[in-house]
Amino acid sequence: MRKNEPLDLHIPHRQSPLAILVILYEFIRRILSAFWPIVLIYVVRGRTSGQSGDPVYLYIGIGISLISVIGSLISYFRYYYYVTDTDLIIEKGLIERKKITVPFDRIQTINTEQKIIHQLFGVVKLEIDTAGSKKKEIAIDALEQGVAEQIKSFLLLKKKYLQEESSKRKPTAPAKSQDLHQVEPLIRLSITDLVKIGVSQNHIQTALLIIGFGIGFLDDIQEIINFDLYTWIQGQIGQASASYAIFLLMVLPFLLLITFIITLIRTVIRFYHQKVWIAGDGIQLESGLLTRHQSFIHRQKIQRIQWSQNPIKRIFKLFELRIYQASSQQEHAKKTNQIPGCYREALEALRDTTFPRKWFESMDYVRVSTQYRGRLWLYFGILPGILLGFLGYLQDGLPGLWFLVWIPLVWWWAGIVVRRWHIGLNDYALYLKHGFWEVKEDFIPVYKIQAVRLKQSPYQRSHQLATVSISTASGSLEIPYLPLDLAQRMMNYLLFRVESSHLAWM
Amino acid sequence: MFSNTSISPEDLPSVEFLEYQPLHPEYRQIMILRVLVFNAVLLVGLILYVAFNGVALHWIGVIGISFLLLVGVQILIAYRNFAYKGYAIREHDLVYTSGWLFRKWTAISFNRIQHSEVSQGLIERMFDLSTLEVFTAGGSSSDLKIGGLPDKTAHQLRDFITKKIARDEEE
Repeated sequence: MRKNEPLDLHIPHRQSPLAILVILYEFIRRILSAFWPIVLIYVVRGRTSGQSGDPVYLYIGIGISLISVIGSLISYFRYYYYVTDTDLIIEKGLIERKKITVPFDRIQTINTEQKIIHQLFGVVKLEIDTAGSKKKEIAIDALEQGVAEQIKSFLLLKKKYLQEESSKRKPTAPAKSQDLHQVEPLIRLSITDLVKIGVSQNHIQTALLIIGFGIGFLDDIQEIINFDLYTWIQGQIGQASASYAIFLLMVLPFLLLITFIITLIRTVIRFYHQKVWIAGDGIQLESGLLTRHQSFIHRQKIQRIQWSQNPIKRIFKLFELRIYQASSQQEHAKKTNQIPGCYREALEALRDTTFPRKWFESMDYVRVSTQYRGRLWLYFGILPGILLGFLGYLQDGLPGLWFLVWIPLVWWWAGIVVRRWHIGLNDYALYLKHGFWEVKEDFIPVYKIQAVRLKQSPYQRSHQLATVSISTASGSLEIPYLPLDLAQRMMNYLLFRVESSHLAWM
Repeated sequence: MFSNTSISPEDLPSVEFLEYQPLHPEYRQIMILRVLVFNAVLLVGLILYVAFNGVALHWIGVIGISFLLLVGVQILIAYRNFAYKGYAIREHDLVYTSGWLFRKWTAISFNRIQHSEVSQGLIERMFDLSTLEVFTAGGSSSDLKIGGLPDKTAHQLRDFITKKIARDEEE
């Protein structure tokens, strides 16, 4: 189909024929990702034992490929999309026929995505997010770019029309259809920015991921490559029993290096050439190396924003900005729009487009109670510290008591955590500043709050303290250990603001 | 309609000192029954494990006593918790409180309620009680579940909330 040829969406259409290849790719990818350890083991085994693989596996391989090809063909030919007066309809199904109906007014956002396979064939994937909280999002796997654009604008138009029908009193201005690619973006990440971002990312998170994965697969890998890490390390130190501390010391630098490289790669893949525009009634984002991701954030749908800085980012004068949109529960993680690196001017420009400037001004600040430090110390310092010290003593004798250093360390950490906590409130918004390494600043317009909750543990009750928990349509936030009367006043005030507000939270 | 006079936070109504409507007294029995049913299932599992693995006699004693103790604690908590559960309906919001050891007050403004539901479980049906659930867009952390309401009350409450929402939308 030509790009400019108008498309009659009322008759059923198939996807682009190239979809067969995309579906096939997805099929194979899914099979491989489910069975990759088995494949890996056979490849490695086959090589080490020097014999060619058993023909049975060859037949299984051919069988799977055949099934994949036939499956993709059938899926392609049984897949139709079309519209009625009120809904978008997708009919599909390999074995049983499925009909998915998406009412136009339920459509929340429409995004396009181009994975590397799509880029290869010049097609895009159209993703349609609906308001239903349990349902998964709907996607059309492969469409020619022009067709995708047509469908997108058609659906958006329909949606807007329906919304105006239902609420006649506030007609929205017609969206300016400007081609953003000709406008200079507010943010355009250069390679140096990308490296700075990669360096200042949260490496601990990646390290934990690696450890989590690593421990699971370590035994498998050791078995496959026939290598025993523990014995190797013991041999290196020339000691019969290497203690865990020495083991950690040897592995840690190595782990850090891997972590660093992996975060760098992850950053580049995700945020390569990120561009951010302030457009019409929202913010347009585009980024990605292998998968080019485009999304549009409607100003109306933004529930809260968070900007943060860690000591390394502070050196580079970079901020990370996250924009949280209202979305169905499972989509939370996905719908967080992340701008991993922006300088102060860009941050302020983005802040000003999301919420009026005066919402950020003249806040009244309060602090969390210093009792919080003691509690943090008890739960994260004293109790685990004593346990670690005890286990260390059992294992290594007196040197094991070094683990007790944990206790003063946590006291110091808890002190900083408590000192960092700032809660700001004005007539329009709630502002929370918190964090140890990564100092986060959350900003929530009060009228976006869905529910307020006050919590009190026995300890808090005996010390006249309470925790305030605030739910928004994109996650909850907790303000720990406020003096009780302050917590109550805050809850009442927030409720009053929510109840007297006539602004639509979305 | 909201009057728009300036308000100092001290004058605002506080949720802690509201008159809360208690739940139906029979709900306490339901709560205890639930504890018993849950533990009965656990007990069956334990017995099967012991029967198939052949545990020494004194261990059976230890397990049995600690099991009974745990059930006792759970029943105590359920018994005490009941007294702390209650709801209050105010002009603009619904407040629910619960928890004996860990106290909790949740307030949801009517203009943030997405929808509400009345449901009745198997045990509840025997007592002719129902549960009212109120959903917001804030996800499970902000949803309210009020159990132990007489079936009629639950439906009245739901209708009231539905009307409230409709009125809010008209405004």
